[in-house]
Formats: sequence, structure tokens, C-alpha cells
Amino acid sequence: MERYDERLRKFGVESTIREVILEVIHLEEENITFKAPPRIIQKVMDIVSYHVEDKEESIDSDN
Amino acid sequence: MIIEKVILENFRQYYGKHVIEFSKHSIKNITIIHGVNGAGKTSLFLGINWCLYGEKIEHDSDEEHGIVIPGEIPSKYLLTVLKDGENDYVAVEMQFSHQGDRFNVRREVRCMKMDNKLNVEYKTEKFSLMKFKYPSGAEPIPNPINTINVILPQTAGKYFLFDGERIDEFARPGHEYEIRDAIWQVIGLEALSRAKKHIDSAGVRFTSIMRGYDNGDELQDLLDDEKDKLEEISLKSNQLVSSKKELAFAVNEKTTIDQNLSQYMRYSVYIERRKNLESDLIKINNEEISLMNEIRLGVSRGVLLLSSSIVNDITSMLDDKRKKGEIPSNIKETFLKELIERGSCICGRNIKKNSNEEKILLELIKESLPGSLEDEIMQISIDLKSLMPKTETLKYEIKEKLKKNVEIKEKKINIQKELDEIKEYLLNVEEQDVKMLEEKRDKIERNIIDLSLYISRSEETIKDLNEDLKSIRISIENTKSNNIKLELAKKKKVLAEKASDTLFLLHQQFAEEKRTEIQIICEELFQKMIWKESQFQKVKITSEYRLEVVDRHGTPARYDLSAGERELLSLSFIAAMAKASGGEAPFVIDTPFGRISEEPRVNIAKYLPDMTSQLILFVTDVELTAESENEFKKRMDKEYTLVFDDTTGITSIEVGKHV
Repeated sequence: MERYDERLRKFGVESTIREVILEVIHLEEENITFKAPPRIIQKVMDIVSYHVEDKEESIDSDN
Repeated sequence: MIIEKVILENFRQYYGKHVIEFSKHSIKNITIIHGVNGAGKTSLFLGINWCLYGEKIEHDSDEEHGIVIPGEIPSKYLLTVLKDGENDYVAVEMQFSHQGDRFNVRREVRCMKMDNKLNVEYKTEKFSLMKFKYPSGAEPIPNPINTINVILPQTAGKYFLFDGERIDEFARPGHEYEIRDAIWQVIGLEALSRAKKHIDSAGVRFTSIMRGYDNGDELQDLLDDEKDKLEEISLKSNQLVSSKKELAFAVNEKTTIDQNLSQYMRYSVYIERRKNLESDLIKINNEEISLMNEIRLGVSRGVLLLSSSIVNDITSMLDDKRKKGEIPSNIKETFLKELIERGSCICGRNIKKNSNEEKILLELIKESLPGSLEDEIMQISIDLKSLMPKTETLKYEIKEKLKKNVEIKEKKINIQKELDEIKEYLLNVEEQDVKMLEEKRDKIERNIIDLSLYISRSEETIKDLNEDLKSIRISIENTKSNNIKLELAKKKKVLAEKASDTLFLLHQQFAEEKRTEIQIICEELFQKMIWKESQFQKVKITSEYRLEVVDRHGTPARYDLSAGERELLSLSFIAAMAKASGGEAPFVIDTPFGRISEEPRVNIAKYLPDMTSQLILFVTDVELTAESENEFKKRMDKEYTLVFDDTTGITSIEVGKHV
């Protein structure tokens, strides 16, 4: 995972996108035998949603 | 993964328990297992695969017809020791270390002897993974299959635990996808590839969610509706206020006219009379409204009136049953208890304690229903009966009120009639002033009626408009809420797309880097191991993942490779992958030297151990020549021989070389 993190930082990828990518890769690595893609896709959606909603909340609280 | 120990129990020709320990040394990392054909090398190799992944043992296959004949797992010697109906278990256990932790993995299954055959009961199969806790103890891993696949994925494992007879597959034409998949799986790009695929799917779902919230211009339409509605309400309210003012003015004007008319003494009687009649009319109207409310209230309790026949039937039925003794009254129980307490019957007979008389009375008490139930039934009957007089009263009251209503209506008609007569009279008098005043009054009165009706209708209209406005505002709120959700879904979709694009670039970059790195290592190793190094200039893994060899003339030479050279190329490729992956993975090769001649074997012995953290070789008695064996022994820490007993069909594992 560190190699991906390093490479993404080198690319200059925005932190939110980077975090989403790393979390999804981690999910895939931990669920190699996961035979039910719809559940994986739902978890991926949850990861993306969390980062979007979390960002919105912090913008709201800043405002 | 560094394999430390394998324990076989009743697995194929390994009847009983057999333990083999492997080299864990970082420099002397080779373990050699000798065995003649059929001694059990392949079984040991298959045992490792079965233990880790539960792979079915393939005995034979007919690729043309797509048939795989399953091989045996249990030791056939069990047929000798077990009786019909008896069972025993087959197990393979492995101890290994990985990234500083030590693990124990075990797979076992029961098999039963039946009709001189051994049936494997796959439903009894158990698979467990334990992790040692320093300094003592172990904890079970809750998801063993997943954990094993994280440590050494099954898809990648086949490149490190492989059958030497199939070793040249990578080098054969038409296996580009295998090479690509091998690189991706070993290097871990498979996870990136799946991540991108699942993120893309997530993006599609977010798009679908967006469609569900997309209202187009609905919000603007609703805001326009709201504006229109507010304008309409404002207009109507203004009109209402005007009308009310107009009404008030008209009422004033009428009063003024009445005052003027009363100046005319000749007609003052009529004016006064009219004034009184109008006052009476107001009172009677109020009385009528009040009466109608009372009638409505009474009728709403009309259920009593409707149910009176049913109530009659129920009370009759209850009385009838009580008379027949089917619902004994509580009076019976109370009466009997009193007699016992008194000590004598009403006829004068004594009722002594524990006498026959007392016993009979106690029996009678038992036969009666529980006191509370008797009471309840009695009460129901009483309550129902008490309703009947109330019903009659209600009927009478409603009748009287209806009668009164009729009287009021008649009164109203009479009053109105008299008022009309007075008006007619005044409209036809000789005095023009009076006549004109009366005409004006009449006009004003009609205007008052029109205005009153208009005001009432307007108030209702405004009420409806306010309800509509309320609905529109609710819709606006819902639409705004949907718009917020739509915006969020859009942002999620955009984030998913950006993540997907970035993953694609990441994957491409890593794949390209690793392809190049593997190519370099593969070329280096191949040129070290091959005996005709001057014949081959380069090894390439093309961007389409074709494993290519370029000869001294600069032309592709893969098709010219011999079987042994293809094996070397494949071996170089696998070793290069292991090196490039950077992770621990053992090389377990079953009969790797079948088609390789002496010089390359020596070269393999020299260079292959550096490509992996652990090398386990299963070799026949003729695979290793003296020179290659000497070379291997420089890096060898453990050596075994599989000894097959022809009498029993059992293989045992002996330390050292005995072939």
C-alpha cells in the first residue's frame, strides 16, 4: 500500500482522491475471495460517499 | 511465505504421520527431496497445494472431451487397516512464517471404508489457520481462506508452486494473457484492476441515483407557481377587504335610510315593525343554527338507535340462558356460602362442619362459574338493558328538535313574508321621497346580499389558495432537498470518475515499470542459465505481454527454442517475477530438470536460489548430475529421500539422500 501512496503523492493527486483509491485498494486486497461483487461495489460507494459527505460537512462547519 | 514444516497424515501414499522440515536459512535456502518415479514427490507437492487451497487432486484429464478424473486423497493403506464402515481422517498441515509472524494451517477430511472403497466425506472437511502469539499460545484466524489468499494468492501461487512438466507454458506462443495475468497477480496489480472495475461500477450507480433526483426545471416551475399563487392571494385579499368595506358602508347606508324613513310619521309604524321583524329574523336564524347543531350531535349518537334491536336480542338471550341455569348467577355462589356460614338451611336443617350437607353445598359451589365471570356476564346484561331507556329518551329528544326546526322555518317564512309586504307597501306609497328611499334601500339590501355571498365565497377561495400554496411550498422543499441530493450524487460520481482515471494511470505506470523490471531480470537470468548465451541477444516482454527472445541476428527466436530452452525461459520469467514482486514466496518445483541438459542445470543451481527466499526441489534419481548436485549443495540446508515400500505401498520420508 505504501508504494501506491508514494506514487500517488508523487503524481500530486488530491488528498481526497488519494484516500479513496487507497481505501478501495485495501478493500480489494482484504477481500480477494469475495465472490459477491454487488457487496464490494456497495462498499466502494460507501467509501466515496463518506469522503464527499465528510468534505461537505467540513465546508458547512467552516461557513 | 517461508514454509517451515509440512505434516502429512494418511495422505495418498503417506500412511500414518510424516513430518518434513524445510530450509529457512537466508543463504542456504535450498531443500532437495529425492525420489524415484512414483515414490511420492508429486503427492507431497500436491499435498502442499491441497493444504493451502483445497485444490482437487487431478489424476488424469481428457482435454479433448473436457473430462478430469479426480485422483485419490486418502492413503490406500487405509483399505487394509479399516473395517467396512470405519473411518479415519486425512490431513495435511503446514507451518510457515510470513512477515515476521508464524502460522499453522491445516486441512483435514474424513474418509470411510465402504464396500472395499474409500469414500471421502467432503462435508467433513475442515480448514483452519492459527497464528502463534509470542511467547506461547496461538489464536485462530477468523477468515482463513481470505488470509491465505492475502499471504499467497491462489492465482499467484500457481506460479510459485508449480509442476515442472508444465514449466514451459509461458514460453509457448499464445500464452500472452497468462503472462499478463501472472505479472498482474504476482505484482499485486490485480487488486488495482479490480479496484478500477468496482469504482467504475460505483460511478454507474451514482449516475443512476442522479437520474432519480433530477427534476429538470421543476424547482423553477414551482417557484413560479408560488409567486403566482401569492399574487392571486394578495389580489383576492385586497378584493375581500374592499368588499368588506363596501358591505360595511352598505349596512351603514341602509341604517341611515331607515333613520330617514322613520322621520315620516305616517310610515313610522311600518319602519318600526320592519326593524323588529329583522331583529327577530336574526334571533331565529341563530336559534336555527344552534338547533341544527344539537340535532347533528344527537344523530351522531344514533348508533344506539340503530342497535336497539340487537341489544334487545342479546339481553333476551342472556336472560334465557340464565333462567336455564347455563349462566348461573353469582347469587347462587353467595347464597350457598351464606348457608354454610350460618350453619343451617332456609328449611331449618342443620349444616354442621364436615357433614354430608356441607359437602353437598361445597360441591354445588365448585360447579358454579368463577365469581368474576358470573359478575361480568351479569354486568353486561345490566349495562345493555340500561341503554334501552336512554335510547328512547334520545329518540324523543331528536323528534322534538326536528319539530321545533319545522316551527322555526315556518316562523322565518312568515317573517320574510311580512317584510316583503312592508317593502311592497312602501314602494307603492304616493310620497315620492319615501318611495325613492325605499327603492334605494331595496337596492342596497340586494347589494348587501350579493356582497355577503361574494365575501363568503372569497374567504373560501382564499382558504383554498392558501392550502394550494402550502402544498407548493412542501413540493419546493422536497425539490430543494432532491436538488441537494442530486448535487451530492454528482460530486460522488465525479470523485469516482477521477479515482478511476487516476487508478488507470497508476495501473499503467506500475504495469509498465514492472514489465520492464521483470524483462531486465528475466533477460539477465536467462542469459546466465542458458548454455548458448551468445545465440540469444535479448529477452523481451512486449507491451502486449508476449515473452520474446531475440537471437543474435536480431530476429525473434521463440519458435526456434527447444523444449529445454523454453523451460529455462519460463523459469527465468517466474524467477524474475518473484524478484520484482519483492515479497516472500517459496519456489516449490516438482521435477524441474526433465528436459534441461547439464550446463543449464548447473547454472540454475548457481543463480536460481538468489531469486527466491526459499527453494524446494523435488527431483528424481537421475535429474541431478554430480556437478549440478554439488552446485545445489552449496546452498542446500535440508535433504530428504522419499522411500517407497513396494510391499505396503507406503512412502516414508528419510533424512539425507538414499537413491
